[in-house]
Order: sequence, then C-alpha cells, then structure tokens
Amino acid sequence: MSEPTMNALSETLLARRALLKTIAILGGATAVAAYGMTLEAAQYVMMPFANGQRCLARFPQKRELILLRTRAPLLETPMELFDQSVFTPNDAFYVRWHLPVLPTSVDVESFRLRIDGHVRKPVEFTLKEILNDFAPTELAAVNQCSGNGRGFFQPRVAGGQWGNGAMGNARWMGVPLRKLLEKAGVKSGAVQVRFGGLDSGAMPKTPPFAKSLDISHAIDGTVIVAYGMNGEQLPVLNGFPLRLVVPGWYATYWVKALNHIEVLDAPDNGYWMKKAYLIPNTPDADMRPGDESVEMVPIGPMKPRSFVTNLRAGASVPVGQRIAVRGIAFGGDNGLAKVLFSSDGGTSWKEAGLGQDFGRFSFRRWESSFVAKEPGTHVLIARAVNSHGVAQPMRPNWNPGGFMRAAVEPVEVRASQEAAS
Amino acid sequence: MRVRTARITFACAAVAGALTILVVASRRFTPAFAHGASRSIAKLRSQTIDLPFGDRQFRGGKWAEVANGRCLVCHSRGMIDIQPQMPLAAWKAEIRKMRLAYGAALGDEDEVDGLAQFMYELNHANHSPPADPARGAALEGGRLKSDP
Repeated sequence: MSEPTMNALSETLLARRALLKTIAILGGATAVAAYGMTLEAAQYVMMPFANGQRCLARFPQKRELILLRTRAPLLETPMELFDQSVFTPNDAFYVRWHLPVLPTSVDVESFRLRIDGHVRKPVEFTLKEILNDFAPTELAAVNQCSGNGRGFFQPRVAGGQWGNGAMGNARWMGVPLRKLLEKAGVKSGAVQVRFGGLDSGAMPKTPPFAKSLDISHAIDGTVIVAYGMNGEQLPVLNGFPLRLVVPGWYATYWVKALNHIEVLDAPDNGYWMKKAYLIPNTPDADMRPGDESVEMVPIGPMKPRSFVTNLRAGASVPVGQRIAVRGIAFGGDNGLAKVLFSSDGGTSWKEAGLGQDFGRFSFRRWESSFVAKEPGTHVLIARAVNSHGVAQPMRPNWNPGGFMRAAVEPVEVRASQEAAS
Repeated sequence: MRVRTARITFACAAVAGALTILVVASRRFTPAFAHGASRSIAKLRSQTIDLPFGDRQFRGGKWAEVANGRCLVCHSRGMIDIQPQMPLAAWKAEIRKMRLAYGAALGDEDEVDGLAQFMYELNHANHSPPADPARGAALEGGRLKSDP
C-alpha cells in the first residue's frame, strides 16, 4: 500500500478545493490488500458531522460509494447521484447488511424459496417458477434505511453513521406476495408473516435476521417478491436473487436474498422485531433523550422527505441573478402532494414545480428558483407534503436508535458579488 | 406497469431553461427504460462476488487483543471508528448488547468493562481535534485508508 506523503495530500487537497470549493476530498490513490480481493479506496470525503471522514470504495457490481464499514458492508450513495436521475442506478444503490456471512454466490438452479408455517401446504418455488408461472408486476418505490441521516442526530447516537444517502429509488419487478401465499394456502388464525434470507451470523448465538409483517399487510397486494431492479436482476449486495419489496415502509422489512417465508399464528417475538428497530410511539418518533417512560414499538411506514440536490451547504451563489434550485422528494407511505420551497429560512414559501409522477411510492423531482437580493447567508429549505396532508416537520426528531429522520434539511448558501462576476 | 408519459410541467416559467438541462441530464444518466416500464426478465443468471474482509486490527496491549478476538469476528473495525463521541456508559451498553443480544464471546462483566474503557479511549482519540487541520486531514486519511 503506497502511503501518499503529507505534501502530496495537501497539494491534492488544495487543487480539489480550488475546483470544487464545497467538498473536502482528501486525495491519494490507494489499494488495500484484503482476503481474496483488493479494495480500491481512491478518495476520501467529509460527511458534514464530527468524525465524518469516509473512504470512497468500489465493491463488486458497484461504482465508488461512501464506505462506512467493510464487513458486513455499509455503503452510502453520494448525494450528487440523486441530482442526476429520479431512479438510482443499481451500481450506485446503497448497501446495508447486518450479519457478516453473506450469500456471495447464488446458483439460480438450486435456489429455492420456501413458504411454510401456518399454511395448508408448505411449498418451495424455483426461480424459474417465480419468473414464469406468475404475471410480473412492476412498481417504482423508494427503499430507505430506517437510520438514514443518523449522523445528523443531536445529541449523536450509536449505530451506522449515515448521511442522507442510505436511500434509493428503483423499479422493482416481481410477483405479488399475495399470489405466492395463495399457493401455500394461509390457514385461518394467521397473525404475521416472517421473512428470512440467506445471510447469517458468525457466532452461533447471533439471531438470524428475520422481519415480520402483519398478515393483513402481507396479503394487501402492495408487497412484492422482487427479482428485477431497474430492469435487471438484483446486484448481489442488494439481495439477489429475490428481495421483499414493502412499498412505503422502511428498508428493514425489505429482506434481501429472501429464501424463507413463514406464516405465523402468533406475533413474532424474535430479536429483530422485539428489540431492534424500535421507535418511540410518538408523533414523528420524537422523544427527549433519557425519557424512560416512552413506549417503544417496531418501526413501520415512512414519512415524506425532500432534498435539495443541486446546491450544497456553503455553495457560493451570485447576488441579483435568478438561481435554479432542484431536488427530489417523496411522500413516504403515500403520494407526494406538493413541495414547498423557501429561500429565507422558512419565513416565506412558494410551491415548487413537480416532475413526472412515477407513482405514489417513487421519488419525484421538484424545481424552483430564487434571487439572492443581498450578499450573505441565505437558508434554502424544501418541504414535502404528502397526499394525506402530512408535511415534513421543521425541527428534527430524536430517538436513541437514530431512526426515522424526516424533518426539513436546510441548506445554507452564500451570496456574493464575486460569485456573480 | 403502466407509466404516465405526460409532459413534465412546471409552475415557474422562469426555470424553463434549467428544466431543459435537467431533462437532458436525466436522459443522459438514466438507462433507456427509466422513463417507461422495464422489459420483462426472462431468466436469472447465477452470480458470485468476492468481498473484502476488512482485516485491520486494533493495536496496543491486552484489550486490543481482546477486541481483535471478540469484536472483529463479526464486523470490521470501521464500525467502531465511525462512531460519534460517546460516554463510557454508552460504550458499556453497546458492548453488553454485543454480548447478550448478538452472542459475542465476552466472558463476563469485567471483560465488558475493560473493553468499554479501551473503546472509550480510542473513540476519544478519534475525536480529538488536530492542531493543524491540513495535517489532521492527512492523518485521518492515513488512518482510514487501511480498510475500515
């Protein structure tokens, strides 16, 4: 591994600053020897919170993404990607695994999806059967980690220190879960359906990763067992060959490398439903630090969110000229009704224009503009409102898990005469 | 899936120019199928990938060895290095969770306490501001470079 000298690093740093102004990228090409492969970590980025230095790294079937953890991989999509496309390319889609033993090799001939438990007839499907015996359905939906934006929590909390790039939008193609459950025949008295994948822990006592949905949700027709992502088979790191798609719900339920569906006649009391991914049962999953009296419940549907994607915090803008501002937004568990935009920190608002509608679970582009009449700091805020009238809160929530961040994300830009010239 | 192909309409006429750029940019960066339904997928191909292990170890005495033996079995060191500044009690709670919930091979509470103190000190060092930002950046880069 070549160790770039301090001077080389400083020069690279200064050169990149001159080019990019707003992003601190600490240069220096490096290759790190690891078991079986070389991890290319070419650059570093700074996330906008303390201890936010990150490598950019290229994992199999992925372009350079922000590396939080090598094993089990946590890879974040840089925010710039969301400015380029309303759908997130598969090789740019974020990655999040809990357990270290991943299905790195999947044989499509021998793979089986099993449905058992509280059913009339346990059944196993080959991939051929899933692809050929059912009419395919396709849906655009946002997949967002429950802890997306955890790094911004104040006070900070333990866990994967994501910026806002633990999310992506894709077209998911597959079979409605309901159709598969019909083949097995759900017996009366079914309460929940549990989903498990091919991943596992390294220690014998590590609870296998499994998540459950209520039976009414599992058969409501929205949940899909997906084999297609943006028209291709899924990348291994996003759950090849099959992934549960739970539109409008946080990604913890979107079980990757899905190979087991178990119908339960009693609520799932497993670790991943009873201890992990719990939020306070309060509006916006918000509570005071240290409050022991709050009831904790499993996380569920998402909230509306919106982001400015073409201007970063600290960007320089010219005084007196009209400046285009754009971004993405989504409605959470329901369609996006509108996006409001403010260029004065939330004092006044106007409705942004909306791009093409790809359905109620998809990202949607928004576009607005403003004129900075005075030099100095201007605070830009986008605020999404969904079709149930739910608007993004103006202040961030807090809970000990760092879950469900959904408040507005103000962006401070600096207007100057120099930027105009 | 049926996808509407209605023209993108924007309320603000002043951004029409920017819109053109936006549409051109999005066409350039998205696959051809992104603005209509995907073609159906006839069959899947077997896939094998090779993942990096993330083998960077802790250094510095007995508790570094304990951490190497107990923590890095399940996850690479990056998970610890990225954490925000946390009080000793929070490190104890995390390590206790690893022992009780995830089955980490930590013998007893003494081992939890010793490891928590080690992690707390490491975490504190990670968060100490460097005197010279440029130097600090290079050092941080050097530290993170070796495979989190």
